[in-house]
Amino acid sequence: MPGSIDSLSNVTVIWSMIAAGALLLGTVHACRWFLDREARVDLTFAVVAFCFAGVAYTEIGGMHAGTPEAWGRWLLWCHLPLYGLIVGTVLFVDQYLGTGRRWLLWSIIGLRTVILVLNFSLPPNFNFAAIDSIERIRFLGEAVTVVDEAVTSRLQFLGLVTSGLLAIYVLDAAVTLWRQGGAEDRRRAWMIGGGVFSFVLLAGTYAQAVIWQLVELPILVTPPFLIPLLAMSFELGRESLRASRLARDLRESQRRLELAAGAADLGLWEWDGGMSRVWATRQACEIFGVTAETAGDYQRWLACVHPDDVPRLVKEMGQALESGEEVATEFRIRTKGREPRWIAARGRAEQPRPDRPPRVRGVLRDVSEQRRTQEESAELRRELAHASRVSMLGQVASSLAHELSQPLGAILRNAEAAGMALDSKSPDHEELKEIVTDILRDDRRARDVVDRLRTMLRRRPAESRPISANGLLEDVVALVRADAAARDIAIDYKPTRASIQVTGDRVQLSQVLLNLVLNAMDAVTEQPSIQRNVTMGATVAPDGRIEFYVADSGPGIPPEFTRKIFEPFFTTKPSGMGIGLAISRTIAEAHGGNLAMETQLQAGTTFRLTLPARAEQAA
Amino acid sequence: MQSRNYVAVIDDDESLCRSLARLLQQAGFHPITYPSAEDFLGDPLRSHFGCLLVDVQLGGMSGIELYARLKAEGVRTPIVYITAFDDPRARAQAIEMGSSGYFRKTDAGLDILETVRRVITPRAAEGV
Repeated sequence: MPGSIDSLSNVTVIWSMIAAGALLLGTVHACRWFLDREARVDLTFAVVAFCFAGVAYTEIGGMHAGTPEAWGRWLLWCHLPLYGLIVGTVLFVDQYLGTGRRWLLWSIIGLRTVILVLNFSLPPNFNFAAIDSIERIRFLGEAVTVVDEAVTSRLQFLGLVTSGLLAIYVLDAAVTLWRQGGAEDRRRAWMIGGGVFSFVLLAGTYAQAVIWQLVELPILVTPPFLIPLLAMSFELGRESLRASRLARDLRESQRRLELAAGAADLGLWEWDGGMSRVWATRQACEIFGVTAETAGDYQRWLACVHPDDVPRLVKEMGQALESGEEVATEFRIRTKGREPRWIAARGRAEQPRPDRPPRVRGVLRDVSEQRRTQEESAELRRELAHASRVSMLGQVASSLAHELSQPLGAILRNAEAAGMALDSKSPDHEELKEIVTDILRDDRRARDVVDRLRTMLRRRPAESRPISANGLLEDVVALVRADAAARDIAIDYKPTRASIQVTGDRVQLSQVLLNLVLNAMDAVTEQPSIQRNVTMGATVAPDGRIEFYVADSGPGIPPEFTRKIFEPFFTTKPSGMGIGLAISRTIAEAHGGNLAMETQLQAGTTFRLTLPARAEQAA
Repeated sequence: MQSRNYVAVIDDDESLCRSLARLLQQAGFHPITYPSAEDFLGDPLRSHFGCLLVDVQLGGMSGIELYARLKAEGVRTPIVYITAFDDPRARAQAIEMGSSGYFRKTDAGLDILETVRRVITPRAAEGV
């Protein structure tokens, strides 16, 4: 009974539900594609889902057809969404698995297009040349129309061919991905590949059986297609889940980064050298004094930098960009009305994608405080060294007095002699000339001593000059000679080769050697007279460095003190400051060398000041 | 030797030696300079000096040691010290040993000359 309405039309209900579900899925994914045009796979799936609904509609229509013509017409119109379904599926496989053979793809699409054209050109439809009669059977508790007598179209085999090609295409794509890929890819392969393949197998065989009238059942494409449809939907769902998880992780990561940067007072920056644009965090903008609106402009950032530092900064950034090495630099920025601030920046060039230009990415922070503290420390160290020097020179005051009184005494004698000569009736002019010459020479001698003393006493920045090793030693010997003689200490000075030179600050190095010699003299003061020996000299070490040594024949340093003697404020002398050796070591290290000590109880102590050799010196 | 007053000047500073010698010469003495105590001891004619002007600080043997040596030999030539230091210990030691004078290098030359005149051994003038 065509057209009769049963109590509950299961077929209609079930098919409608399926179609509605598909439409919903399709809409969701169509929207997703609309929001992110790059997600083409969502669009393809939407098309598949919509066409699936269309096929379901034509199937219900067919099952409710009253006449053979009506049935034939439903089948005719079924081909339209079916075309979309097949083509969509094959495109989905191509996009999602990515391993299908293109020629197969185009063959399938081509063939189905041909089938579609034929479908609308050859009445009643592609599958049948003629439909003679229909029948009603019971299907799912309902009466549905099926074909009874019909002549199969001769070109119908094309449909089989397409199905076969589709099966091969999908199988090939899935297997290729399975072989190449990891766990993730393998899942994709058997989900989609398996889904579509099983659909083709089931639906293809079934439909062909119906068309060849081997069975009397409605043509059903919809139920078997549920398998790939659900598989596709599942896969896309996973994708979007992954995407949202990634987005969440990203936000989390960004928050952590900002927190860390903020806590460390760091600003993050990125310079896209290719387009001269800068990205920076709020912190960086604040440090620089750049407002958020103008933050992207590279020129605006450069304008904040002190003009003296701009060329160097630009060069260093450019170098980092080219070489890919790390850049670490410090520069000043101008601030309105206040002192310039010092900024330290570190970064590295990266090339995130080969088709994009490299960019430099890094951190920056305000180091003005740090620099000021460093400068203050340096200043304090200089003052301390000066105080130590003054204190030491105080100890050699007697030597200096001696050095001065020699020339001064000679000048006095000469002047007195000249006075007496001038008193006589005929003064000897030659003699007088000699006297004057001697006076001038001794005056020069005295002045040199005073100058040397003044230089040692003055506070001045360190210089770096070539210095003769012997000259250094002799200066110090001259300073202590008188004092040593007064204390009955023998100073044994062993000169080295006259060509040996070191580079550095004469005053500072003299200070170190003077310190060592004074310490040595103090060490031997208590010794019996024959054992008061201080030896000093210089040698060339095997590695080419110059080694100054001061050795004493004192009692040696007890083991509990050996590590402490270089510490500041450690002294065993009642009037000592205790900073001499600490400063001496600092000076040694500042010259690229070091200060070391060997000692042996009852035998004596030797200090060694090692300095790098001058570059031009022959070994 | 004639009756001239020989004075030995021993100082390791060349310029000082020369200047002191000039002064002595102007004052009518006959100075002979030595750069060290050893040089002086090596001179065979050293017993003829009427006075010795010696620096305490000498390279090698000191002025004090020299005097001790001479005393041990029985030499009684007066010795006058001229020194850069005014170390009270050394001064006391020198005087205890019997030196005839202890001057600083920057003391007035006239004072030194006066002392030399006073202590110079007349025996040398006798030409023995």
